[in-house]
Amino acid sequence: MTAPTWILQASGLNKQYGPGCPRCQQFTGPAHNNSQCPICNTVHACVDAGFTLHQGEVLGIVGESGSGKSTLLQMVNLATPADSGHIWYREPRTPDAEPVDLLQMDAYRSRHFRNDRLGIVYQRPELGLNMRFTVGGNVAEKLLLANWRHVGNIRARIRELMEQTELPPERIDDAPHTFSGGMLQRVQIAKALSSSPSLLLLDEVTSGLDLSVQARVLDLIRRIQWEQQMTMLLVSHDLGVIKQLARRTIVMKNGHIVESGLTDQILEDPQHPYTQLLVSSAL
Amino acid sequence: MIAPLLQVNNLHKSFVLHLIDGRTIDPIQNVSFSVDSNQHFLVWGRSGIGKTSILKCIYRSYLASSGEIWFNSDQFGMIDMVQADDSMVLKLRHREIGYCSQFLKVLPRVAALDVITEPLVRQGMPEPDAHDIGREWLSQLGIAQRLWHASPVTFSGGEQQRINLGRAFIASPRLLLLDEPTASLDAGSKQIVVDMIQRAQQRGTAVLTVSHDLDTLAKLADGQLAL
Repeated sequence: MTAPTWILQASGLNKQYGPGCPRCQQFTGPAHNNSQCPICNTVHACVDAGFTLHQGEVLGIVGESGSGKSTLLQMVNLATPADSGHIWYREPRTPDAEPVDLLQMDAYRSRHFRNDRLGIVYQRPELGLNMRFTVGGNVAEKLLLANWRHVGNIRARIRELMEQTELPPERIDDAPHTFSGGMLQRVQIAKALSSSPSLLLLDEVTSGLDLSVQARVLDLIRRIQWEQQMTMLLVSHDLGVIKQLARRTIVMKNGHIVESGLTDQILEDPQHPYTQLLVSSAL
Repeated sequence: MIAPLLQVNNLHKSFVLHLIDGRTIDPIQNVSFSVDSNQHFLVWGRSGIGKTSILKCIYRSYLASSGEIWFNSDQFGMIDMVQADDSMVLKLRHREIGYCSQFLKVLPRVAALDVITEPLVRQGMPEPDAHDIGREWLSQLGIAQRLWHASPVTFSGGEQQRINLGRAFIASPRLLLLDEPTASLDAGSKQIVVDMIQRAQQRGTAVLTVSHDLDTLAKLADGQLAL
């Protein structure tokens, strides 16, 4: 029997903001086009979400603003605590080891896991970077958390990462505010890759960039994915971005996963009314 | 008895158009046929009758509504493409099933040489080796050398279609699905397609073609289905 190839298996993930009431289910969800219960005002950001992520694949999560896609990503990033559910992780370096439930880890192990095995790139650079640090300082921060100590080694690693992400290494000591939007996304990518994570999380990474810059950032991500066989979870509201990078896609609406499948099938033969609307709305 | 490479049983596909009153369209109803290894099978009929939908159901770009599509995989045995999970479909696409759409769709900044060799590189072939093979293919396809490092989006319709076909044939899948491969081609280019199909068969590839160009393709077919 061949070993399973998944590295992440999430099931029953829930996140709500508010106390909830017996009538929440009756008034929220895709059928009601609403995530917020009109009785108790609880927002159901993510309801019973689950997916499997295989080693080396890019899984896209698409949906409109407020659909719960970033909440789902942040639960995987262990930054937003899930109310319930499981996120099983299988370490690709030791595939025979038992999977661990990331949501059952204590705070210390959870922090260590985040620093060491996860990398994240946000839409807004100020969420991923400390704008008061230099570019090198930002990348060094993650390396220090991953127990790098030798200054020379740290700077050499940062220069290597800057070259890899097509940033001029001589600007290692420059402040982030002197970089363009596209370059700041590259700095975030360099920082995310610094600890050689097994999973890269991308949250609307090209939104807000102009088209040519967007194309270069997407090309960079595609190259990194191919060269390093990097596993990625990609959140975007842009079907064009999803189409370029993801082989499989999840569609979310009002906190629920309404459809999942191969990306070309989602685009060419969407089943759910919302997915049909989404595809028909593409420019 | 050896099982056919592809066995389609009672295939049915309907589209529910939720944005247009939830109306249903049924382009394929109860279609059955089989394709053996090395065979060239032709599905023909007028435009809009559901030929492309059959190919897309086999490739799983469309979800079949009912029926069975059994593929005899070298690696995984008999797989029903209607029921197979997405990961299995991706594995089969990676190694055993190729698809050539009617029109080439590529990023406008990827060179023709990279476009045509992409399937080989994806299968793990080192890029320089893949490029050597790609250059041979581009020559055989009659693509001028000065165009090899340009994006095919700037090419003529015929040149684009030849690149499209070359990319489908280059990795020698066990089953190749061709959607109107001779549409928009002149007589010389059609002959190139005929040669490619024949060479693919010699290499052990079964070819399933949908087309309305019977003049060019019917004489090559080992089996036919009229819709």
